[in-house]
Amino acid sequence: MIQLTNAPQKEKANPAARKVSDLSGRLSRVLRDLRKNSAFIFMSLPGILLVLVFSYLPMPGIIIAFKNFKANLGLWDSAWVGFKNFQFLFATDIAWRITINTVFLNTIFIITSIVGSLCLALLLNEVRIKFLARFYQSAVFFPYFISWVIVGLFGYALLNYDNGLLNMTLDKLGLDRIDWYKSPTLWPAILTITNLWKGAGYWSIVYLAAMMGISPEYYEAAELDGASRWKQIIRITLPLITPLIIINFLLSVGRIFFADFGMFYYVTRDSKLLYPTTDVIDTYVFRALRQLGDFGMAGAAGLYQSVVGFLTIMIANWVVKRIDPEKSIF
Amino acid sequence: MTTYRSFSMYRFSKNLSQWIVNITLMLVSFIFLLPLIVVISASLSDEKALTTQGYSLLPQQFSLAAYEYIFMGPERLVRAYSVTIFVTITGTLLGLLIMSMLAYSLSRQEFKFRKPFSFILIFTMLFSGGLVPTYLLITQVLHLKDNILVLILPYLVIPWFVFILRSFFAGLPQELIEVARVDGASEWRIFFQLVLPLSTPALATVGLFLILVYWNDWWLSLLYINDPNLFPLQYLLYSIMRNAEFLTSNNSTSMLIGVELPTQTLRMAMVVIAMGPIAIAFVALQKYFIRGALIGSLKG
Amino acid sequence: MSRNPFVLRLVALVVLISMILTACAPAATPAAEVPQAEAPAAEATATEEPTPVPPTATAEPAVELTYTYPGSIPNDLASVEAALSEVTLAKFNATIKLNPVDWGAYTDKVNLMVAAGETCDVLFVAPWMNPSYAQLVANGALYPLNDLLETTPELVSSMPAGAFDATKIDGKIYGVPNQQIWSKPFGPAVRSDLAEKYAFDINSITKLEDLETFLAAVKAGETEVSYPAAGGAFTNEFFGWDPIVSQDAGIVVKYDDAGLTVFNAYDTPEFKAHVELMRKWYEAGYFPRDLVPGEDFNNVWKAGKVGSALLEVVKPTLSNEWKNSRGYDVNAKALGPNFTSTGSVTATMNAVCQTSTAPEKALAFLSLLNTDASFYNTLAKGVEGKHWVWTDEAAKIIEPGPEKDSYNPGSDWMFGNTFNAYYSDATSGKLQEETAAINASAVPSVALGFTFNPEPVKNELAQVTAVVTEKGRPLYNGEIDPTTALPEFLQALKDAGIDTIIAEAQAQLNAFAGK
Repeated sequence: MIQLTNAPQKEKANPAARKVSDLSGRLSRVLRDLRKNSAFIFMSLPGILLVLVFSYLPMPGIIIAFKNFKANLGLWDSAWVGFKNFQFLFATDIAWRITINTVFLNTIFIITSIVGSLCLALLLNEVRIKFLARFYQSAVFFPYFISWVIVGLFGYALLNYDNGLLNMTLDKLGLDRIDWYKSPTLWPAILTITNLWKGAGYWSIVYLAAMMGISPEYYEAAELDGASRWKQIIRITLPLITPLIIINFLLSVGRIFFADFGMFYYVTRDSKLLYPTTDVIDTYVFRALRQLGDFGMAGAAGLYQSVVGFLTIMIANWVVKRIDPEKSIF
Repeated sequence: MTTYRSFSMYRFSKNLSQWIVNITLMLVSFIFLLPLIVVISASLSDEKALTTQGYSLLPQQFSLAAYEYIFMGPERLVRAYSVTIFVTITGTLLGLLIMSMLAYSLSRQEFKFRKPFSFILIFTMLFSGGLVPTYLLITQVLHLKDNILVLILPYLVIPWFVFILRSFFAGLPQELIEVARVDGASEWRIFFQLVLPLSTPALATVGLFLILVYWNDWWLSLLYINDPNLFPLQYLLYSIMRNAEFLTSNNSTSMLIGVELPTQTLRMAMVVIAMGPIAIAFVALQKYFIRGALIGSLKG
Repeated sequence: MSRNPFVLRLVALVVLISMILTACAPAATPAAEVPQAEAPAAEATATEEPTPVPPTATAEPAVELTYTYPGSIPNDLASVEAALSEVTLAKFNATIKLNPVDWGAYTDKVNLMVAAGETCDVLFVAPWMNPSYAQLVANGALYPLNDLLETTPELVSSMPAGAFDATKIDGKIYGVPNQQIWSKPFGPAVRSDLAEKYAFDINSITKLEDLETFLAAVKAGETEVSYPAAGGAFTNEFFGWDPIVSQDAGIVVKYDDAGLTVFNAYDTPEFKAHVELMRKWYEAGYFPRDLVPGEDFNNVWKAGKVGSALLEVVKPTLSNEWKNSRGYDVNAKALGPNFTSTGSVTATMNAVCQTSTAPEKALAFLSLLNTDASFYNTLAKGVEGKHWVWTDEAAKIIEPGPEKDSYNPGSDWMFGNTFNAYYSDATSGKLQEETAAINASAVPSVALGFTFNPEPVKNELAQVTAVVTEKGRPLYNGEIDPTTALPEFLQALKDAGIDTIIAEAQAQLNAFAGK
């Protein structure tokens, strides 16, 4: 729309009248934009205001990461300490381990979760019997309700060495028991499965709703052309929900340095021998600061995650923009 | 003859794919539902039997002890339920309205502040001021401590949900909106009378997620509510779990004496009780996940 | 490129907002220096009027004292508050408001309460809580009581000599310790029924190794008892080491070492021998292969799956308490030395908040809790006739009352002098006497009264704590082989900077002793 109105104006301007018409043109353009956009401005205002108040007003608190926070002095009067609060994160070789684990596992989670929930949504979209469709939807969605604490307890019932369900089964099959909680190499897979199980239903409902929004006319037309169901999925369904997939992808990438603490803490039962593959930034910070309870150092860790996440999302957005400017989010 | 045959082949292959789809989903559903069944059966088991024999699909020595214990003090539970229900309903309706208005304007190409506003939202997903400044803001600037609003306001705009809605709105047939505009409808009318009715699946989805956010939240009440009359359900249940976890993680077994730890069956019963109503809400909202019949009829 | 001006504007907005927020925020809470300035004033007011104010002199409105402590909120808080307030109104014109905060919410709530400068009067504090006693003092959240204590002579005289010294930080007293078992003699506890069955006399053992016959017998003879012992364990106190930095950091001084040498507990022959023993028992199958989830610990005991615990504080009331919470009587014997440390004396305390509007009345309230048995029991057990009733008033034995479920905090140790607690059965009186005897015979540690200030070595302490949790715990659980894992652990501790902390602790301890 904007380009359409702008283009003729530029063409019209002759060198003599350029200055005057430029100024008045810009002014009238701004006015027109405002008037034209007034409805949108008012529509977005309540939301934006809430965000400004609840998210941006406390934002200056980020400086806590650079302060030796003393509760009685408050945020502003506590002493500045520069980057001292960040030291504990980087001083030992643990910094590498936790960063690599966090990024590696989150990358796997993002990919498996998008692929898994998309497949699930496509399957759900094919069900023609209403009653069954509803049943499946509920079933896949339910794990989302169960908190990580409970998931962790199940995991223990399933995996513990002495009388876990899996080891009992291995026994019956005449196989050797596995020391699950002491075998770090198995855990990226276990965590991926757990993550998929708990979250795939949630995401597939998002995709499913998007598929529901696709006009049936597209499919009817395709059917008349004799396109197979598979072709319809590739040609119609997937392209039409791509924007949603990209948004999901971009936002997940932004959180790639944040780990789901509940999952890493409860599902691994905080087993120390699994740390080589399961220790992530959030669990390390929790462990290191458990006794110090230092707001400044915790803030420093959070800021580190945010800044790197911010850079990642900017890069990812830039890449998307290069491929298809329409689909970038900002 | 040939036509009949090819038709039956067509039917057959269609049926076959339906069978494959259904069998796959049956299996998936079973795996996904398994823990839920285990939770319910554990909540109905005898405590000692559960500890010695472990979890199973059917209750071990059927017992209602856990539920009896929870319903021993019903006033508190009823009060917590009503707080939660009020917060969930108000928050979901209000949040849905505010977020869909925001998302709709962000979805319109001609809206000038589309990208900066999106950026403002994304930024909050990554950076936050942290606990202390937020607490100061809410308690000392907004004076919302022990006010039921504090359980509602902070979740009214959740950036991720705004983006889901935005992409739904962007995917609507733009010609429809153009036609309405040419007919002289205002943006407000277009939004309320055309866009919203067309977006029921999206609204139902985000509404459901928002219900979940409000229903499951205990964090806001942990920080800002001291008045037991305003405790929501999740806080009540979660605090019992967290108490146990906190005490055991402190290596101070002697401190455990006298503090009641929830038994396994009780924990499971709490999960069931907290989940029940939300499961009903889910099933009720499902009817909106119906193929865009509205779109078809409107376009026709 | 086009985004840059926008980002700039955003920064400007944030700065502007921050300025507004600063302006709106309350005036900065008093700096750390204020207490000294205020203390004499408080003293003056206190000496002007004698503590007991007649109830009729209610010209000024009664002060409301808020008592914040961890615990779940009982159904009937009001009647307890009323019963307490009745006494405090009469004595010093104050009412009591109880503010129990759920255990799980305590850290966040108290931290924020302090950060926001919210009013509180009396606060439960402990070195093992987070925020800890020392952190609260460092943050200036607590009110120094040195001068104020002169107004409550009965409180001072009720406390054993040296008790208040243990609470001192930089010479100032910030907490009133609750009297209870003040020493931590550690030793094994075995289930009485199993000990009897296998004719195992716990009193015959002299070291932890001697427990092996019992563990082996249970392992061989019992199928129901999956775990002859609950798991590997290690505590500094068992070896007579006073953990002066934190329980985990393993930076200790021997309780009777007049030379005050600070050393790394993990780098000792004793620790090496201990983890080797744990490894041996782990491999013999005496421990659960995977740690029992903490939340289920009591449940697993109740189900009869555990035969013993290796290191427990052996106190006279142990067997009774375990019978209640874990369903089995136990026989226990202390093998570690009997000494008191800063950590054990200050294990549970109550303090007056810096933000209190009436610190002298807050202390008067604490004084009542520690010296007035009936007042203390109202808080600890509830209202007579309602939450409990007398079984034998002369012997001070009580039993649950008609409304026992509406108030039953079950944490005597939180509220005051536990020796004043009413007994739940006939034997409790004798057990209290035995506890008092243990306290009396305990040797004070050379570092008693010393509290470490972690500020200069925060980064190192965070790293060391992380290393101990990761590499130390599996060692003393027996999960890993010490021949390779112990040297690795020690190296990791060095890399994390344990020597810096030891040097700092030594310097601080020397300075403390020099005073």
